[in-house]
Amino acid sequence: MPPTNDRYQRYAESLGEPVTDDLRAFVDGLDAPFIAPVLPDALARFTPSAHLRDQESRTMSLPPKEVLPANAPPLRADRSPRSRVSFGLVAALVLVIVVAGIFATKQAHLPPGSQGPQAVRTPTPMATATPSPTQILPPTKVYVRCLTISLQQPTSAFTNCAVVPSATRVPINSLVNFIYCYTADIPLPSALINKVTAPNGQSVYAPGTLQPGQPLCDDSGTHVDQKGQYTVQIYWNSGADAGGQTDPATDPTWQLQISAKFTVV
Amino acid sequence: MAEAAQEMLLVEAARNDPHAFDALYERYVRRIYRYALAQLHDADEAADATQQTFLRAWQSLKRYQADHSFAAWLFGIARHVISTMRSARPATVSWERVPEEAHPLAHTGNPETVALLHESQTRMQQLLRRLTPDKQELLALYRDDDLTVAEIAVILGKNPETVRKQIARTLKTLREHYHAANQ
Repeated sequence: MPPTNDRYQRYAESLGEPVTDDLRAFVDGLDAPFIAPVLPDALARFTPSAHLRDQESRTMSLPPKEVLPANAPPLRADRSPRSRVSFGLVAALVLVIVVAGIFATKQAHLPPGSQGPQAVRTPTPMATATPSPTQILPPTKVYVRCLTISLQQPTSAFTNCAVVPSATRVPINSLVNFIYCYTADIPLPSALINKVTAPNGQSVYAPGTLQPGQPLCDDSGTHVDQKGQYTVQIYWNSGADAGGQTDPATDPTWQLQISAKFTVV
Repeated sequence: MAEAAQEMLLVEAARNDPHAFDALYERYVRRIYRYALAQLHDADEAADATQQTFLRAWQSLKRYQADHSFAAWLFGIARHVISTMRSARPATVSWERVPEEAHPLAHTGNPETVALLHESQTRMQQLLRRLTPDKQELLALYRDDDLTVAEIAVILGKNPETVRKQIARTLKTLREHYHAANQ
């Protein structure tokens, strides 16, 4: 969207000049980069807290069930046992599957704290590489809303990263802490991977699984021993247990949510 | 005036129903993002600042008083968020960090014209970079067509007439330097 005549007029009035081609060129040069930037996917919608939960937004947060392959991890472990019962009549079987599917979907979307016992989430180094099933996933950069780099170690995972001062330059051989917070409507359970790439290009991964009822922030630490720029990237996967997976940068089931850089001096 | 009343209705609705905040978000998200991008020159940081701005606005919506426009209040929050983010990183930021897709002219016209325009814009950005941070901020707010000088004054906590003069002075200086650089 190019600047409008009104826009040129606004500048002309401030400068006390008429609108001329020269003025238009000046305004274009001044403003063009910021007039119509592409709105990032991260800003496609506002998802601030559990107060905004509703059936509609929860449905939008999940991939359609029909695109999940047969070996996809279950979104929720405690599906109705009725879905495993075999019936003679095809019509009855279809009906039961539909009912069980609706029930399982509702279970998968219950608010945090309303499901079973919480699992302890501890980021650990990655193990073997196993490809994840291919899925069509919802828009990126929706669930993780902030990532802060901090020298505090350890930092409480309960800390809101928005209130922790972020570091962009850290001394070599520091222990650097990454705090990342996500929105309340992240589908649960799902998985996040914290990928840290050192200046020499080597990466370290710390996967973790998010369970209902857990705090909306997590943290992960790393020791930095190379001078130069490090990159931190948080990837999300709707799979319930995505630990020990392949490189999230090349596995399409992982979606980059947020990234940040810092420099080791 | 009618628009202000309509906006107040949106605010009241959002206070009572979080879903109603969507309307305010839709109305302002692009403007806040543009402002953040003009200040931070980094698409990811601008997106982050925009999200934080709306999060804080949503959390403190009950405290909003209609003494000033909602736009002035929201941009004030954005200003604070951006200021915090800027103070947490190195003072100098390369203009090359402005994302390529943010240059709409880079995708249109014949290559020669595009190159000339791009060169002209780059020159302008270099001149902008030489401005003091408060003048850069002033122009970042002035870029928003829908913000009045009075609202900019509220956001900056200054007298409207002072702001008006500062805008004119800054633009004139920039224009002189731009002409000089083009000759």
